[in-house]
Amino acid sequence: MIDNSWIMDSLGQSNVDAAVTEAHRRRLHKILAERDIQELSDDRLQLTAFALELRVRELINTEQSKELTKAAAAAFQISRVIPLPVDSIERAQDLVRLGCLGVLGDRGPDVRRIVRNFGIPKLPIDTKDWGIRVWVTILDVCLRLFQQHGWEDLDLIQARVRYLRESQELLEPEYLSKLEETNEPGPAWWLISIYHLARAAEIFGMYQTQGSINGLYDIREQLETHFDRALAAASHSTDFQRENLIRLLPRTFDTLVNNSIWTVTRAVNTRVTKFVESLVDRQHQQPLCNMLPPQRRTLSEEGLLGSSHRCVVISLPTSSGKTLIAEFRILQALNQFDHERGWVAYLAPTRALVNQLTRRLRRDFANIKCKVEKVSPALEIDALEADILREQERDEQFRILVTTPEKFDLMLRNGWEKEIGRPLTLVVVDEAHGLGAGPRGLRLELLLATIKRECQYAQFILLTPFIPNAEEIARWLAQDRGKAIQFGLEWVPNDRVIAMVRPKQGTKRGDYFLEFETQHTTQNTVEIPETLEIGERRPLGLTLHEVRKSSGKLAAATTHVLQQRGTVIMLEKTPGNCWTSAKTLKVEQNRLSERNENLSHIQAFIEDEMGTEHPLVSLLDHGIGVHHSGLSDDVRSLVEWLTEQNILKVLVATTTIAQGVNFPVSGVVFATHQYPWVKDIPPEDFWNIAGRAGRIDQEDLGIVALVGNNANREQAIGKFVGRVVGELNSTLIDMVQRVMSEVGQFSLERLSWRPEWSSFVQYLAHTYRQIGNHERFVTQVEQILRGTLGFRDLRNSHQGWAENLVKGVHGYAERIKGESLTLVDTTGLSWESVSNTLRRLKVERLSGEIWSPELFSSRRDQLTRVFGVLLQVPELRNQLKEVSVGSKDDGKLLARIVCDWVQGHKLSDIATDYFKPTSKTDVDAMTKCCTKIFGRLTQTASWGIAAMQALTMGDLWDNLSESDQRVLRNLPARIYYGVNSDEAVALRVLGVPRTAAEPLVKELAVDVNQPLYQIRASLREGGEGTWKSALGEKRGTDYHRVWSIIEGET
Amino acid sequence: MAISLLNSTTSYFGSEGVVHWIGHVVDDQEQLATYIRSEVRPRLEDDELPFKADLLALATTHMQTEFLEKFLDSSRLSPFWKLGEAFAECVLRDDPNLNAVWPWNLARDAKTPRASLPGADLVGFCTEENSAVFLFGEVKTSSENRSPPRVMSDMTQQLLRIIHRRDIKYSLLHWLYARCTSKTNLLLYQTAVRRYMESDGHDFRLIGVLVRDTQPIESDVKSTGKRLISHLHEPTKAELVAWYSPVKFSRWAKWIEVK
Repeated sequence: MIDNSWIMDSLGQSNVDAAVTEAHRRRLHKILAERDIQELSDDRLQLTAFALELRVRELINTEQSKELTKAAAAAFQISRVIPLPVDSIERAQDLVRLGCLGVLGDRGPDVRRIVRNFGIPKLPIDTKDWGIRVWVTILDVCLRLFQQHGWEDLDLIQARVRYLRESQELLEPEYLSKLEETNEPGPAWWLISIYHLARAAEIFGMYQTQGSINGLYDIREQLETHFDRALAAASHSTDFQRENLIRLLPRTFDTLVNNSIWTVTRAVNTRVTKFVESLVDRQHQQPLCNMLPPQRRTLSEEGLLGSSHRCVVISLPTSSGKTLIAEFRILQALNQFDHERGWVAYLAPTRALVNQLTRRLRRDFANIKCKVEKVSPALEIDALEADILREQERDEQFRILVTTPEKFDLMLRNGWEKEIGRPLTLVVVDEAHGLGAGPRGLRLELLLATIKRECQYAQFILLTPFIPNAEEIARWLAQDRGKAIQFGLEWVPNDRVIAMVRPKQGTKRGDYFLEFETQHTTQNTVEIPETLEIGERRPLGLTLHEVRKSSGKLAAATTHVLQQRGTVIMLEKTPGNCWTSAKTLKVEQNRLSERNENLSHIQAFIEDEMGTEHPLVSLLDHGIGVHHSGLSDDVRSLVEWLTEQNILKVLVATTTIAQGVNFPVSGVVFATHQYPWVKDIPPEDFWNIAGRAGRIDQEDLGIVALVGNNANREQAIGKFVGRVVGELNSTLIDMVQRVMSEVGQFSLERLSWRPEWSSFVQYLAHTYRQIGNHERFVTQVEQILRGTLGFRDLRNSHQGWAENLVKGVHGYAERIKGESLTLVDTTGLSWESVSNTLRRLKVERLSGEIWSPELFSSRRDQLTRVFGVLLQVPELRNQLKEVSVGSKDDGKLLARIVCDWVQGHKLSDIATDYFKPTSKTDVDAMTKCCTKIFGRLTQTASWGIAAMQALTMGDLWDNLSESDQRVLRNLPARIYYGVNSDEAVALRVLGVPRTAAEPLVKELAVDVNQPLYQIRASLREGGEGTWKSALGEKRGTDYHRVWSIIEGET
Repeated sequence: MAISLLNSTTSYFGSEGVVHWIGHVVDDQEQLATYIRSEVRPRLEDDELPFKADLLALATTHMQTEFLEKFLDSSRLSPFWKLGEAFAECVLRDDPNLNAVWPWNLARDAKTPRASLPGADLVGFCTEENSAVFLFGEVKTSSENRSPPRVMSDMTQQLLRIIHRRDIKYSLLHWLYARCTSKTNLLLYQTAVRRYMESDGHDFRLIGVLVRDTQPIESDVKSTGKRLISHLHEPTKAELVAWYSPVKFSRWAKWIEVK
């Protein structure tokens, strides 16, 4: 319902609904079936659009902004499908009118897309008829303001108005003398009106680029004055159509001013102003002049930039520009603690996101001298990271640190805030809905509870897709100073359709087509009552039997059809499924017609890293990328980049991509709606990935397709898309519930082997250690538990269970009383694991003396024994066992793989040596190899080795020289990065691909004692030449380009 | 048939389907002169617009004002067709069968909508007891001796365009909305919109006014009326109204100054 005004009452909601459905129908048919269709006549659409626009007129000078936005958005949605006139001037007028309605309806991104798609009509800007010239100039300028195609448009706006002034003297007199003959003053008034409009447009263009008009900031007043004059003159002019259009302009420009980045961020602080200047700077082809409605509302209307809230939860739809919002909050926090050189922790759940965010933050903050560093997700602090964290050189000190929650947890528990010597002022949690997801969610929850308790100055900003209980989360972290800023369903960055695709038998034998049926969802998605046929018959040459039998085949057929309008992500359950589907899509028809230089470099790199026969190489020739755990980290980063750059047409990925990738595409096809562990993708994850469909800058309608190859599946999918996003709840509640039903009481030491409970008891042990007094801890137990989100809820919902848990904690406190709990924090293991491991190490006679780089070569037997112990640690063993599955002697196998990996053996060789015997094909072996190494081994083994060092070294550290200490502290990093020297570790930290690291160490004569920023500088300065000298002409060029892409140096 | 203020005699009338036509002959030239001076003149454009202030403000646009100033400064006479339109507005307003309402009081607001695209000469309401519909119309003046005068062919085309071009009607209605500032007029507008929308855009009145200084003859308007019939659907109604002046138009121009 738009509202209950007399106009809507006259029109009737059913008419609005019918018109909106018709608009959806026409758009869907146009893009999917490539034909124009009319179920409802243009006349009917025009009538509804007229009534809605009338409502806009009624509201345009009132304070009823919400109603105005709604009416304008509806008028826009309907008007956009009414055919535009052929005549260029009429066409431009209609486009401007449509643009005004779109801007007023908060559909700015759609307006931009529409103007870009239609193109600005070719208008007679140079005509000698002054009356026409001035009008078409205004139309052109308005369309450029709506389109905002970077500096080109902003410059043209100024140039057009200048040109008008220059030609006035020449053309105006003749025009006026003709008017003398007709005795008609109307057009003269019209000129006055247009001159004011031209000045208004010029002023606004100036404001967009400079934030002021020649040093004055009264943009609104200046615009209002010119629009008032323009309107007054227009009403003398007798041109009803133009007058109508002008009546829409003042409020439209007012909205554009509201959306301007300068307005939203005005008078906050100089750092913010400098940041804005850098975003709008001419060095960017696409200056960021406008904010999206959620950004505007969050920063300006909700007052985030001036707020004193300790915790803000920003709950907005995917692709609403949350990162930019976070950037402004970061600047505010840095400014607040500038004197103390406070710093910000930016937490993201995956390595891919950490890398992506680091690149983005470095780029955005480059001009304001705000240093951004990342630390690897490896659960240890290597010597290089320690150097970054302890940096004393003022200009080189990081102000923003990007990492994963787990790593940050380890850092804080080991006193790194104190070690850094500067206060943590803000914690940004990206994808914060992860709080409710399993053991990782609990760990994040406990981390936030720890920060809340221990970091005096830390504030929070949590970024999530829409969740219904954002307020509650905000209050948890800051009782009185928490705030939630949410946009529910009222705004979407672009329209989206969720559809089921099924095969439908045709009339001829063996013939079939894909039937597309829009689904009703809990979100505001596009829906039409009938189905439509999409694409060609028998896509990809698949038979009806094949697509009915296999959801993967049906999804591939759907993807093949949809990729013709833009990049599509196709989601599969497992890496194996991904390869199969990618192969299905690889048909001659899809072969890329043009060679892309970057693609060639990437292909050469993949051949070098993963073997010449690796299937990804030829898939890329067909514009098909693959993304799953069975690829190296570097290759995955490159595939992400290719997708972001629209070089790929299809990306076949596992569903886990939902948790880690942040780039928009035109469509998403779900071959499965489940995660690999046979669990339905939760609604928040589904909507998060569905939200990627539709690029804010390009696509018109984001398509999300699920495939229904049989009746059961169709039913399951119908239910699946109808689910509502639930509240974000703590994992703790589920954990407690499970224990109460299974055991009936809390014996925490017996539960500590479970990963989620291990995190919980570590939290207790850490807090116990911080309090440092048994009695005080015992009396504060309830208070400590109340620091978590879960316990607060548990107290309210299940008081009995909460009391039981408190009892359990009391019991656990007795157990850890007097123990050396520091080891819990340094190892990231529960006290139970620590004490059991200490015992095993003693039995194995493994002590601090064993640690040396020779462990990876001549003393591999000792490494084998270390792995033997690690395989007994509950927190580590499952991950390690997955690597060595099928082996009789796990420790030995793990040690051998680790040694080969560290010594720089090629992935293809490791795959052949260790995974080929249990694989059907070479591809299977390579996929397994990457899954195990990157998904399990590097992370878990480096953590395990770091933990073992902590358990065995004790005071021995003090007996070592500083350089020896560095060598030993970097041993886990050698495993993590797969290189065998500290110098190579340094280059790996800087993003250098593994096999290039050692040759470049020699070429650059890297000195481990150099600070990392100096090594980075020499790597940059050396340019491609260094790489060529180190790796040879061709390989050097390929690797240099690949490195530039991975590090965002392109 | 007598009309207030301006007495006339019906010379002819006819109808077919939803189209009616009628010819009024003004009875008395003195009464006509008074009518034109007191009723029609105020509806003509007021040349005393406060353009000086507008021109001063124009300087802030950084455009030149010299030529425009000169142009607007020179006082000029309204063209005769404007007098014809103003006359039509008055007689339709005073016609008890139509009760036309033009939602503005001051002459300077009374703008005949013209455009880069053709619109309509008349836009307003026809009022009935407790109700109103939109009125769209065209006005022609002609002294030509032939019947129908050549201008009627233009009128036919213009009326047909109003019938068929919804976009033009919507633009005119938006234009009209901006002028319905009083409560009474807003109420009329709301009523008319309601009727217009509920009828899927058919409930409105179409009027063609022909002002002549020749002898009345039905063929002046009948052929246009017949031409319209097949293009109209209930509840649209069309009226073709011809007014015959007992004196030549040159006399009108003497009563008030027009070109």
